[in-house]
Amino acid sequence: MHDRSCDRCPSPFLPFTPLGVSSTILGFIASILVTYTYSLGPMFSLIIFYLFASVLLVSALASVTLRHPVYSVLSFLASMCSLAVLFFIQQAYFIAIVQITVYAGAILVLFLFVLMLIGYDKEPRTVRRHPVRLGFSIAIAALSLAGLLWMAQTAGPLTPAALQPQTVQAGVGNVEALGRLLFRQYILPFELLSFVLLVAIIGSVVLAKKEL
Amino acid sequence: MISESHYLVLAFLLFAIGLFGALTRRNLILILLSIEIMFNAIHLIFVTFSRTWNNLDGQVAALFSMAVAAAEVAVGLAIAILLFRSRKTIDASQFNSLKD
Repeated sequence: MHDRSCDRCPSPFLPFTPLGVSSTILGFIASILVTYTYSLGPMFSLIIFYLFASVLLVSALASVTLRHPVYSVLSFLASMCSLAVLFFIQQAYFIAIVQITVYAGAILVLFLFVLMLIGYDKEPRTVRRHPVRLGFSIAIAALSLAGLLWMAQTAGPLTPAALQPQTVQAGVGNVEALGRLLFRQYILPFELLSFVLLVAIIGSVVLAKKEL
Repeated sequence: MISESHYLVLAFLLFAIGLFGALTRRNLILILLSIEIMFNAIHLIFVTFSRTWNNLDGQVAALFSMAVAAAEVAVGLAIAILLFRSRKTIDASQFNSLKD
């Protein structure tokens, strides 16, 4: 199980640099570009969409298939940054920033921290030696994809009758509108959420403490 | 403007990739990572419908979902550390008995 099979590479981060870091830097540069030049027109946003959708899918695939855990966590970072760009071009500016701060800033660091603490062995090649298991996983994923697509295709227009566009007013930005909604209409779930976070903090401290 | 079906297909693909990862991975931490990818597909759907219907409720739901995902990751990684301490491995296929 504990095969430190990467004897030849001097640093675990070294072979990673081409894929993850370059696409991450590309993501940051392009997200700044998008903010400044968004008014260029529909063609530009189409190009941005396809560029970052492909970066997102490739890096997500890399993060579920690469055998070295650190590489897959870092390509998860690349996919989160490109997802933030996709939020940006949908005018969800606050969500995009929260995506970068929460996922790239908190969750990813937590994953890397625990990986370093536990030790990041390569995954054994057992999954690839089990074609039945691999085929089963691919079949379930493809089946769920087909089911979702079929559901979206047959559901028809999902316009709910009770939903009216209430939150977009002239002169009010995304953050301000979201804040008003969060602190007026959704104040109770918001406060409950802080309680959920408190429970998670206490729970993880109690779980991970050495002696109880 | 790109239609919402583009974003929906992208989110479904992302969800399927995350599901595939959660099923094939052996490392417990990477299973959690795959679940995070599935969470992010859901966030993309929330934000897309928020833009389509010109209503910010979807973005509020995405925010709440992100906070719950962060809490879930913290607890899940604490459980992973705990399992590693008792079994000296985080290979999910090794956790096959209730007693130690």
